[in-house]
Amino acid sequence: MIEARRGLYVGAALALVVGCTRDSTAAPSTLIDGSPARPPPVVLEGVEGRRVATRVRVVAAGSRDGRSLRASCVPGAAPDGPIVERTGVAGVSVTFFDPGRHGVHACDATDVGRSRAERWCAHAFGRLSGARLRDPRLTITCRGAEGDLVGFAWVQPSTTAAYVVVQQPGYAEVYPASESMPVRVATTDVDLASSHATFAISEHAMDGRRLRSYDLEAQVAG
Amino acid sequence: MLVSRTLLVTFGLALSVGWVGSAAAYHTRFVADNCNYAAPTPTSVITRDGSAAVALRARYEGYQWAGGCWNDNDRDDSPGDPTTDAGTGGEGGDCSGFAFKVWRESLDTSDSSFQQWGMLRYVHGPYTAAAFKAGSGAPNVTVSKSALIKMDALASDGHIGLVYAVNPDGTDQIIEAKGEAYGTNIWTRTYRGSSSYSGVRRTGWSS
Repeated sequence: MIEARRGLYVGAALALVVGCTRDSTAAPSTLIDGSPARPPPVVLEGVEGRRVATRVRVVAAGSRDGRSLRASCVPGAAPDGPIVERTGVAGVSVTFFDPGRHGVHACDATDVGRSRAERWCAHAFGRLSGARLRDPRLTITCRGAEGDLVGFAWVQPSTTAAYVVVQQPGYAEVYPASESMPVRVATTDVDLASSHATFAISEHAMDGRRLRSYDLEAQVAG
Repeated sequence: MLVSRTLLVTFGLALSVGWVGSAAAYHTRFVADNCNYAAPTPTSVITRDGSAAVALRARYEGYQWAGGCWNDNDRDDSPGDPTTDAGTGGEGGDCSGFAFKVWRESLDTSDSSFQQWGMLRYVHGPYTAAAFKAGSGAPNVTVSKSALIKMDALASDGHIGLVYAVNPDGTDQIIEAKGEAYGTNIWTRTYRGSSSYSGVRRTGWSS
């Protein structure tokens, strides 16, 4: 009798775990700002399952919106070139070069309901060496609506890449590359104990052809 | 566990060649042979002088990008690591890892309690210098540079150093993990006068 009950409890617990697991890996129907999650415009070689295109907006630094964005992110900053704003499933980020393009700034957010001045939960700065970053500048100080950690890092795609794809549980998040600028990507695959995050990445050409794939193991540093 | 984590990091770094450049071949065994993953000890009475003593134990030790583990033998046990390579397994913290450990912070950014990390505990913490500069995390606040006292910090987008003492001429003796070529030590710095640097304070000290 006791054994039978124990079996039922275990069975019920397993059912719950499976149910939770399915829920947590379900493909999202919206981006973090509530807009519909749409597929990318091309078929991406080797990318299976649900694909969600992130939204990218390129804002002139001198425009009213650009001034507002940079002022909320890095007060006093004078960007060299445009500001790239990306809206994904888990967060929003802005990226821009500093004067002379010696470095690149990003601000990351997971609570888009706040005003711009309050929303940023992380700021990253990376020095450029030969126009390239030597480190993805991982941030892990942001949390999602349910308290889960969200990590942000830069990917520096090859010059021929038009899309950067980050594999997420249950779906693939697709980031259009733009303006020869590092692409700020997000993941919930964060290990707080080791201050580390893993990004399973593939890069694709304009026609969807896969150029390369790799795991980016990013570490909080510096 | 340690071995598998090391393998994972090494594998990842080998794959992400774009970030590693020519540094991928260099490794030491300092972390593998000496460091641990022991839980920190919650600590209630924390003084600035006590944290200065923690910082001084790291003096003359090495520097490791993304690192946070050192001994107390007053030398860098893994000199010449390639810079900005997190996978070389060398001795020392980087600037933000050093500040995190000396300020005895929690991995949970919403937790402002004090946590005593062992010297050989391999931990960096969730903050970069830029995050400290912005006052990210429950324990950390930005403060006017004129108000900074012992064991407060000066942070820029790319570096953080702790105020060990204030010099009569207005400069500071800063204790910091400066870089691979310098290790961890006390130097006289003019960070306070630089517009790139902001004042940051760890809150909650007993005295």
